[in-house]
Amino acid sequence: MSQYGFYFDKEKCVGCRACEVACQVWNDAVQTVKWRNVSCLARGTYPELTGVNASLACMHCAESPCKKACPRTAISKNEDTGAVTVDQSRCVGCMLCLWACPFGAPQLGAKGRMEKCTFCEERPVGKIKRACEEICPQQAIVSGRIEDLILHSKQVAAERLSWDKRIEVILGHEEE
Amino acid sequence: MDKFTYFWSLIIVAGTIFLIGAYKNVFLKIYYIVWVNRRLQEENGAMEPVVTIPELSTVISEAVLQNRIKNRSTFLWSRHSLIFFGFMALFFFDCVYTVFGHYLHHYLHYDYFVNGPGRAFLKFCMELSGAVLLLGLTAGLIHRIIFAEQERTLIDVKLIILLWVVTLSGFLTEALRLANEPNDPFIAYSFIGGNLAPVLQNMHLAGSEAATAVWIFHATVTVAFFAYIPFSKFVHIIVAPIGRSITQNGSYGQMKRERIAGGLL
Repeated sequence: MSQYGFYFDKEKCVGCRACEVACQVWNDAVQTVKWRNVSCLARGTYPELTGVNASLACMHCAESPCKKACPRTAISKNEDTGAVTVDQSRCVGCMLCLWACPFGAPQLGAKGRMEKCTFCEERPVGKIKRACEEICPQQAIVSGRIEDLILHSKQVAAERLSWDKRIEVILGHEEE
Repeated sequence: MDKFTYFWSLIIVAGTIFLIGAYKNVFLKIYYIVWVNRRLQEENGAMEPVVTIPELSTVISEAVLQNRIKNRSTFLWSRHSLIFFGFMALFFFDCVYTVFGHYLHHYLHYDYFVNGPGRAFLKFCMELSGAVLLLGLTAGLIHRIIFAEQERTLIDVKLIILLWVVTLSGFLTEALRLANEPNDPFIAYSFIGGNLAPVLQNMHLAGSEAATAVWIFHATVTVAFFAYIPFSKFVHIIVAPIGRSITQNGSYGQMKRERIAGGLL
């Protein structure tokens, strides 16, 4: 089984929320709440102001806590892609998956059942980009096999180190 | 075998099945979630509490008033409320009747709920809550059948039919008992069973054998229903109030997302 997932680059994200919109438009038939959420956080006061935009959705964890937490076995993992999806016909909307999820990804939909990112299951994986990834003007979201994403993150880090000499960047990448 | 011996044997078997299901599908799940969140705190410094203490307003809104269902549809909320309050009230009065009407009477000769006004009160309340439950279930069943396409993923028709049979057989049991005990001083308080009894008598369906058979059938399906709760969608009776109250109407997820964004700062 291949494990696919998302890579998110906080340095590239500008908080435009295009990913949220693309996700809603593509999954319009089944989505009643936001599956992808962009959190824009700022700390401090000018001129010592720091901010970050984080676009978060289900990370399709290899060992999915939501799947193990579901009392109705409504959450399953796709054997080919590793995508974690909710079977609405089995879900009772108890929100235990939300309690278990480290990313707070599953949301209670308008029909009283849990909803979450399906990894755009209608889009052939590996051939077409996910809706959020496709729309992102900054290429801050990248989807792919976990092994490829790890390689991609190292390339991005190496590239950044060539021009960004801030100590926290260097230390941050050293820690990784 | 005495019918009460049969009933209590069933209770022991069904109770064991219920406890196994509750352990597997409720207790272990919650234990795992607490373990995951504790590990997140220890390893990643997650700031949100492992278990949030639900705000009273959330519990009332989610578990009692069920406002989320009301926001979806008033009709859906009405029938769910009828089922919820009918079921809860019937279960409560049944427990009171079992404890006070059977055990305290048997062991301590406490008569208030057997011969006194307590029996009239309980009979009336049980009939009323049963009627409310049956009304909600019937509305749900009809709606489910008419709007089958739209509701297929939301309501499991087999479960509604099971609870509907449990409730209806309860009324039949009471009616057949009253048909065989027409001088029951509290017959007026069983306002459905009491009115159904003469109808069954006129149809020559009210023999004591029929009463025993229906009593056994009602006891069996009721006990089967309780055993089935943790393995079916009925498990939401237990887990939905817990999950929805602890995740504070979804704001627990927001807390987690903000923690992750904060960690990226």
